[in-house]
Amino acid sequence: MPEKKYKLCYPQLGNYDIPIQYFVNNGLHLEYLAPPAMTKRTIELGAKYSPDFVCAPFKCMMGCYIEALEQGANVLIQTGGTCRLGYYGELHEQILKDMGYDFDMFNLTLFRYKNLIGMLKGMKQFAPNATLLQMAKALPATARMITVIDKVEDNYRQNMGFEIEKGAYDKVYNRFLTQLRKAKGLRDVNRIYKQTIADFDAIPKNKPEHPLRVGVVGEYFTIMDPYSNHEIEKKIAQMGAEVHRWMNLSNSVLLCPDEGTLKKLKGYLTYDLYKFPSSLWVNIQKKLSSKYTKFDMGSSSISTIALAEHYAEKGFDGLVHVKSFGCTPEMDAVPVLHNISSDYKIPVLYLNYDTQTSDTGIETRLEAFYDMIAMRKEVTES
Amino acid sequence: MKKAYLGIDIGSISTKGVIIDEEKNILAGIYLWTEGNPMGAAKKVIAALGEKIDQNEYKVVAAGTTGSARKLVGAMCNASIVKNEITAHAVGTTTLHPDVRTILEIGGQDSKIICVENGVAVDYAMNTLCAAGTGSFLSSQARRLGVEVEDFGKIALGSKNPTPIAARCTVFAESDLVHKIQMGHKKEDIIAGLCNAVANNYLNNIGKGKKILPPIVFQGGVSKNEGVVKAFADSLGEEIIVDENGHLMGCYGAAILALGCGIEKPFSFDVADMEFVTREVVCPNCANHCEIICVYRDGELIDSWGNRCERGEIKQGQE
Repeated sequence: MPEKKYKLCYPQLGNYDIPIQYFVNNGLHLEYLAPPAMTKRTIELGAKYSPDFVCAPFKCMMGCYIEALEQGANVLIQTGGTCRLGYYGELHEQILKDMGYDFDMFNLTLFRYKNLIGMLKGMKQFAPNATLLQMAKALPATARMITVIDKVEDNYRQNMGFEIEKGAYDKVYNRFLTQLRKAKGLRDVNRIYKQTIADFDAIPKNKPEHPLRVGVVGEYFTIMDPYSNHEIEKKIAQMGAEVHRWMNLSNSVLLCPDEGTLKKLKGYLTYDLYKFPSSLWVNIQKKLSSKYTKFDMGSSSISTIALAEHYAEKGFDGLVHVKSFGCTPEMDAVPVLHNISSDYKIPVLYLNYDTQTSDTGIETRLEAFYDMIAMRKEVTES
Repeated sequence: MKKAYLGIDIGSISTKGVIIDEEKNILAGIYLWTEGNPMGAAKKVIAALGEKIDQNEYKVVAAGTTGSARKLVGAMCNASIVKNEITAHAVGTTTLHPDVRTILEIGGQDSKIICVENGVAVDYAMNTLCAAGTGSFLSSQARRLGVEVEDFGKIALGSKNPTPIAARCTVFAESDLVHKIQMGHKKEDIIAGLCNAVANNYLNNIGKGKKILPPIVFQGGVSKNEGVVKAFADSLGEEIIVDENGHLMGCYGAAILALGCGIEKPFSFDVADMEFVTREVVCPNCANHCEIICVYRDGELIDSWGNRCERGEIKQGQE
């Protein structure tokens, strides 16, 4: 039997297709097909073939899968989850098979891999020729790419609002992404990162000593995918604010937040993939936010609460909570956010996303929110 | 000649305009229906305001626009400032009522709450994804009941026994309402029930998690409905202040923002006679198909927007 040529694909999530592509190419020696950048068509396709009441991330992923299948992908990756997402793999597979597509589903929920080694073993199903050693060799650069993307984006969000020449930050950031796509290994990644940060620092800025600071919290997919959240971070930043967001792949999956080395080691060894996509360090965060919550409500809800409290404590000027319409774990977090808001006197803007494509409503709310926190800061400081 | 400032609030249902002097006194105000034609309504507002003030004594040096068609009309009348309606309302109301703590606002398509501390807005909420319990719901039910929406308040106050109506969702409310009509409930009871439903829906959705502290100012078109005012007063147990100029608060705020922004741009009442045309261009560069709106004044492109990236930019003098 001739060996089947696999083309792997994972739905678009921010810029994480770059490290995933690197790992598939270099660790598994397979082809990776990044789904085309999301557009209106992606959302329309996804919504058309999804149940109406399912959350927006399901519809976005569905659209991405369809567009990737159209371009020749034949292995779709789906991760598990501690919310409804845990069932999405099967549902996506069923719907797409009913539509007549021929493909394999690499569904992490079904494989029940307990930890990273297990996951690497599972990947052999699609990459019979890849060795564990090869995979392990590709891991450091992959992990570094993820942390580098997150660090660059943090810097970008916190400073771009104060650039003097409009578009200067965008230019460096886009160059960073283009170069990272071509990176061949760890050394390249480090070099690109250093260069990008240096370029960022060289951009002339007009940043006040105490700029407005806004923290963004919320649901895992919507918060990390700028297309899904209508680029709210960029929009707030451009009005003239520092935008902070803890939730990203590095913080939720890669970097153990425990301080001690031993604790860190323990954290890595007890790494439980079943918990994906909530922060794998959910127990640590639960302890941090124990004043407000006792139980994990699934998905990213605990991170939302822990981080909202953290930002409030740090004296941020406002919080933005994003979630897809009907996201149950985040809905459960909203009453807690009400409490944090009144305890720390910090305004929270709640944004719900469905498959609407108009920006106007979101812009009105963001602009009003920004005006409000800006005027408030002016009055309290004078 | 004294300086004056113009503010226009172009909402989904109604368009409002004021002219103020440098001391923030209202010189002239007007309120009329948008009727699905924001530019036409804005022209009418400008023309009417121009007649109401003495143009030999006052000169409009800056204009501000707000409301859902703020961008369009802002381009049309060369506005110094284009602001969202939440900020405009907060600024307008806190100027007239410096001690206000809570602003309730119900308009034609949206509703919002603004919490104020020491004269500045500290928190707000606005309806998302759903327009239940807003003015347009009351208008459509008025039509169903065969009464003018303007008479709603008076009729509601005549009821001794308001009919309970499910308020969670407009669609459910409507079917509940039909059921209650067919059961034989009196019209005034149903209308009073509707007013209560609007107030309860508002407090449960928009007011969720917010501390509603007195003094409370209620504004927006629905604030002219005494039935809803009474429903709010009853369920909050507080006095509800309805300003006689409550319907003008958005444009008043826009005028104050125009005064405060320090940018003076030439404004002429002649815009009411100029011809403005908009054209929608669908950007062909990617599958996003951004809808770009171009505004022309007497055939000349004055502004465009709607593109998500620089590839879709349409500049003056370019086609």
